Amino acid sequence: MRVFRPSYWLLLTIVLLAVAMIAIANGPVSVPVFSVFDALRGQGDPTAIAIVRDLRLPRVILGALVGAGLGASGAMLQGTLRNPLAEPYLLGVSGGAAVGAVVAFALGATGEAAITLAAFGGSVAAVFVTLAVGRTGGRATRGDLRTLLIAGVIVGAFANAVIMVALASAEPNRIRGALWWMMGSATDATWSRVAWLAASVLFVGGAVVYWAREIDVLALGEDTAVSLGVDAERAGRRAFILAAILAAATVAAAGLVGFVGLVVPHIARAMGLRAHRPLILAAGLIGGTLVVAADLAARTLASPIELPLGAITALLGVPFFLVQLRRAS
Amino acid sequence: MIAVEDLVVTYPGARTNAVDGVSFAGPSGQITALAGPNGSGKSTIVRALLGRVDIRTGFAKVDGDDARTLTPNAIALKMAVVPQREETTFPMRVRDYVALGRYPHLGLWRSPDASDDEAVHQSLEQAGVADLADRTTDALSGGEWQRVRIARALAQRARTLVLDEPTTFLDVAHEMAIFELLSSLARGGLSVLLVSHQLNLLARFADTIVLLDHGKVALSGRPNDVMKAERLESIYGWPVVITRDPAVGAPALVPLRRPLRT
Repeated sequence: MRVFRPSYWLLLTIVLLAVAMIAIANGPVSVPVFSVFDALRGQGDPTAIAIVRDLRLPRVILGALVGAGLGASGAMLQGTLRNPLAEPYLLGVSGGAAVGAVVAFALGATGEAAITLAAFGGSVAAVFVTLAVGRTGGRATRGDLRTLLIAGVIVGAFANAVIMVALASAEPNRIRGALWWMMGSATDATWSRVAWLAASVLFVGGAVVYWAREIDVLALGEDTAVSLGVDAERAGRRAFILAAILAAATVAAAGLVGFVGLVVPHIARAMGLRAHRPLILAAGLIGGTLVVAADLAARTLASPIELPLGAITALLGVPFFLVQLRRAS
Repeated sequence: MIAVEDLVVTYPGARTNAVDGVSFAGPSGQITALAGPNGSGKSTIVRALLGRVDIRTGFAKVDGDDARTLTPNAIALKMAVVPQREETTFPMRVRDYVALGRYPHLGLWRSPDASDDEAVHQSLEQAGVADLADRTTDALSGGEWQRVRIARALAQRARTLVLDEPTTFLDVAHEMAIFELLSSLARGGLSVLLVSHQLNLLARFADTIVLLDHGKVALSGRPNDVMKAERLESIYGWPVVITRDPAVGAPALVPLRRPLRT
């Protein structure tokens, strides 16, 4: 097993900042890197200042926060569920958010706040429905986190059905907005959205990091966790809700950005991390880097056409995951 | 030490009691063995000591305190358990794994300090796995893994050690090594509660054997008093004879083949 060295923290931070800088400098209109620094300070060409401060910087920060939230959420869920294939979207979060957003689009909502709130509300509602479904087996399944996973898949399937009905009955001009949102995008990054997501990621992410040590114990199985003094059922539920809210906040901000929550914890483990506190922090940095890079690719690969961010992360994530799977076997 | 007094546990929906009026004590410095056929209530008693089942009547006490009145963390400070099953989805370094045994001792921020590192070091030495400290848990043999799990439990620094079937799937040498380790831990002052099907090893290593049948104590006492062929035949429903271990004279059970039908 590789040993994670303290210097890797510096490396991860530098890579994130470097990718962020490249992402701010590049796009339909390129801004030289040294001009980016000037523009950030409000000096130089007014057009460059507007591009950097009003368009690119919020977009890059939003992407970094989305990636950080999804990476941390995925790392926490994989440990809690003792399943390396677990990811935030399996738990009904994505389905619920999509239902909220698509229904809002179908009803003609166009405002940023309305869509964001509808998506966040939908995903939180779906999480609680998943929890309720997971408890229908009574005492026998109440503490069984695998039942929650199955419940999440069922809620997700139901959400898909609702989305199809909503899309089939919506006016055609409203469908494109809903579809674009479901494919994931950081296009509509505004400072208010960035501030809202930053508060969510820092607050919920802080709680996730605080309880991360409990996940180390939960990852050994329920019997061992209990013998080490952890109320496994309560701790599992808490981890599940925190991870789901974190993912829900990212979905509300940028739609569905797949595979980040699944792949990123594997990269952090490949660097030698096992304990969940550093693992979650590293997954946040790696996830942020990955989404910022993917968003850069989304807006530059087929410029002037912008590709869906969720498609880029999936195109990067699937081959990576297949390689990991092959190495593991 | 632990004590179970007139313990009755009934699982929801069950017609019979899983544990039906069981009493025994596990004093310090001794190995107390819980044996009996599958489903006789052994693991339920361990769950009662951990406060994980609803006790109908009676008591399951850890260091004199009713387990129901203790928080999970308070129980973990008094009693370390090596469960039968454990998941190793994400392999880790042995040293880090053993350090998880310090979890009940950690403060509000759950960060280990120098005393935790020292306890981990001592536990690795005590269980004879210090040389494995930098290996990963997926690179261990079955015997090494069980010793590492015991080291993790020792790191809890509890006065009682409970093990549920610690030698399942182990070969003879590793099995004997685990029992010798448990014997030395008991001589060092720990109260060891051992749940096992290995009657012959229990007869050689345990100070007291509590033999359960259908949730009740069928036989209890020193190995010589418990290893009686007639009673064991009726409890297990299989013909047996009792011989003697040539080295230490402990009773040894030999299950017999049934006569072939012609």
